[in-house]
Amino acid sequence: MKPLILVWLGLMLLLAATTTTSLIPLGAANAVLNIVIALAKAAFVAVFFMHLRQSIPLLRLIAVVGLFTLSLLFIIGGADIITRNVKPAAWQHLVHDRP
Amino acid sequence: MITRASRTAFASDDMGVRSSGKPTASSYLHDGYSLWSWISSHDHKRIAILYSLSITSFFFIGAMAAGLIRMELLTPAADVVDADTYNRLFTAHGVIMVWMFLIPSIPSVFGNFALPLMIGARDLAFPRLNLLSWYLYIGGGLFTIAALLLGGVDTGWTFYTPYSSIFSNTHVILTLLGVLVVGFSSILTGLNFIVTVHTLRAPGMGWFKLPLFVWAIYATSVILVLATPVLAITLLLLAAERVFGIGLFNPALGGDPLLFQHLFWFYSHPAVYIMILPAMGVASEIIPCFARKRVFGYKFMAFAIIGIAVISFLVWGHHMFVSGQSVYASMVFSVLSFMVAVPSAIKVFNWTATLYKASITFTAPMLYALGFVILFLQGGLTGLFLASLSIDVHVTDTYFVVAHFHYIMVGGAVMAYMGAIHYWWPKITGRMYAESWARVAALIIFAGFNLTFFPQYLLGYDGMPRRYHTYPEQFQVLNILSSSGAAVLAIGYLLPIGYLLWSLRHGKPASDNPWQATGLEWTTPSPPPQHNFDQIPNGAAEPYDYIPEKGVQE
Amino acid sequence: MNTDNTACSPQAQIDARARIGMWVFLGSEIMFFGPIFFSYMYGRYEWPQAFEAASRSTDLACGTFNTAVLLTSSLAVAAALLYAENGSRVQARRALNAAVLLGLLFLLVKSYEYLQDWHEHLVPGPSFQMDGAIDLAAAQLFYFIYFFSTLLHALHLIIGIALVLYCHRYLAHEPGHGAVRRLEITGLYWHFVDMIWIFLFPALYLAGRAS
Repeated sequence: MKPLILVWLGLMLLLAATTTTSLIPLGAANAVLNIVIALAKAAFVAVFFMHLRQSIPLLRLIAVVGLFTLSLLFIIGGADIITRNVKPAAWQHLVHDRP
Repeated sequence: MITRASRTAFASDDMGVRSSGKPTASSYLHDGYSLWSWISSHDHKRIAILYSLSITSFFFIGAMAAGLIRMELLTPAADVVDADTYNRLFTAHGVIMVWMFLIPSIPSVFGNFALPLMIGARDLAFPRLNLLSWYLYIGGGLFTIAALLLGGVDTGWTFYTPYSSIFSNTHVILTLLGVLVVGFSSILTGLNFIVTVHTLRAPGMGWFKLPLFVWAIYATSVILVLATPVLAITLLLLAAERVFGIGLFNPALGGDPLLFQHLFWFYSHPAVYIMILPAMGVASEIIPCFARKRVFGYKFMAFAIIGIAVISFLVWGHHMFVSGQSVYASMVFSVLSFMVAVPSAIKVFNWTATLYKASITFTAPMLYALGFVILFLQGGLTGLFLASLSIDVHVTDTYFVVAHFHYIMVGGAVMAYMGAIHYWWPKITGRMYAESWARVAALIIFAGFNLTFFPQYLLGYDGMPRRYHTYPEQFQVLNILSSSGAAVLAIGYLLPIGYLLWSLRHGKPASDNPWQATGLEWTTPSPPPQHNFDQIPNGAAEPYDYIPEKGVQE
Repeated sequence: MNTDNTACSPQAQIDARARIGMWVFLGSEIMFFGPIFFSYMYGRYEWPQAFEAASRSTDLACGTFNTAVLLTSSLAVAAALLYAENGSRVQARRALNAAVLLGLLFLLVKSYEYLQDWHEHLVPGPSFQMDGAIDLAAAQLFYFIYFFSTLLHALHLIIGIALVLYCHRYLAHEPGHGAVRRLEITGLYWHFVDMIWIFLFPALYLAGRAS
């Protein structure tokens, strides 16, 4: 039981960290920090609550394969979105607010 | 050395036929005769038959839509249907053939029936989930039929936005719901197969003792589980956009139609591998059996299956070369699309090498399997044309693309499905079908198929666009050829209905192993008892233990 | 994995099948929720100011509180499994009660947030308006993703609560190992729903907070 409580405390601390740091202007680092902390929380839940560490390797493989496949969507799909050459049409009244 | 096997080599049944001439009373077919016993059954064999009946019905509905399309295209003018109806026809054809027929076909029928038998199991890992999958399939199918009866959808099976999200006045959401529910059915089926292959193999059956059909179904199941949810969420987003008028896929409201296309094709490209991998698995069962020779390069074949499944997730952008996708991304997708051809080619080489110095008998299943290899090869090669950016720019959205995917889907997947039906028919029904009729039907299908679809390559290359119900005069001759071919194909597909149904009553009773094939499914009676095996068999035998010099034992 | 039907006990075999089955299902669920995050990333990339402004208009207190609630509920479910595995079924059921209550609390707070959003005209549609929005269309995109993803998450949470209640009853009435197995599988699902929220929270509530 004690290990579970410790994990919970860790999760609460991470939550506090992500909320408080988001209120501090750190530019791009805010987003990065939030993602890292979210990944850490997810790892805690997966390893300690979902017993991923003491499971057979197949279960870890399934988790990894799922994440990997999703990452393909983000990486290659994202590659399209960020390398596109977009020229707004004359009639488009929406102005992109990207700096 | 090819022995001229006698015509009756496989028709003789002196290998343990029952004296009564009927399937034994303890078979799964006799486990209850009421309709309720069938539709409430947890038996994977009965569920497979339930699927086969529903899938066949949908096949004919989709085929009728195609028939009307080909009728319209006999003449350049719009004389059979108007533009709006034509749009609904090709959409119905696509939606039904892709989601109601091709995706479930081999996995849900033969994966369900044969896979547990092949690995020496009594059933799938989750039999009740299997039945739920069928109910979901029927439910989704009913939604789609309802949409059809209410007038159909005119967006194309690809549901591109913003037409489908804003402008189309047809029953988009009803159709989307149908596809969503059927998709959920296939996710659960895939899940079932994955757990089954991991946990229910017979003692001694390591991964490299598995028949290649099992490898194929396993890889298909992994794709089903990973890709179909993306479709589900995409269709939900589309439905929400349609209902609430938000602009996630609408450029006028800050959204991006390509976002839809990325999400749609992220699923739909792996989906085409869901359709072809099981077909490859079937070919790998049939060819060694009727060539009496072990599959050449078993491990390469297995790894090629996995390779196809993995790379299939990397190439979806080749459907979007002219959509406004970034040129750099397009180049990456083009290179990756060339790469996916490599494992497919390895498989074609290995099937060919299996035939070399083999003892070949041209039974109906073998004709279908050989037809599959030839036509899949053709379709695959034209896929390389389409993977080249420069060529694709010219032939995209023309009949060249239509011909390419029909060669793979009809020439490949449907031929393999027909081959599987004939190969496992004795096991499923306990009857032999009429071999001569079957061979004739196979040849008619092969001829009809080529007459239908080869002219379409030429039409597309010459510039005839797809999804148009009228066309310039100069394309009429090729269109007439194509439509004539469709008529021949129709005959070819109807013949099996006749002789297969006939065989249920009058066909020769089948022995346990009429083809003298290897594989655990042939060690159990035809048809199998409800519990499959009296004793769980030993799975340590090498797969495809055929010896060509022996030929077929008389 | 297996191959040998005789080496493991039947119970262990059923356990293994159930675990693999649920993890495969969770793999499919990751692919189900993933594209929503992809759509969010698209919006954040194309309309960074609008998305950050819209993100600021969400209720940070509610979001943070709800995250804490869900994380605690995961603890409760994990504790319940520990108790059940050790035979303390009464304590397991108490832990499950806590999980259900926390889940319901989450839904309550979420409903309160939705009500607030409705009053502040933040629901996408003709009556949408947001102060400080550089462009309304992109802000609506954010809120579309916000409502779509949180509603989908809430639906999964409701299913999770139903599963936990089922486990509660099973623990009370069925003395065998099956109850523990069902709880383990339900736990996996519950933790996954928690994980989705772990990523939804920063995406929807924390962007652009510091500006």
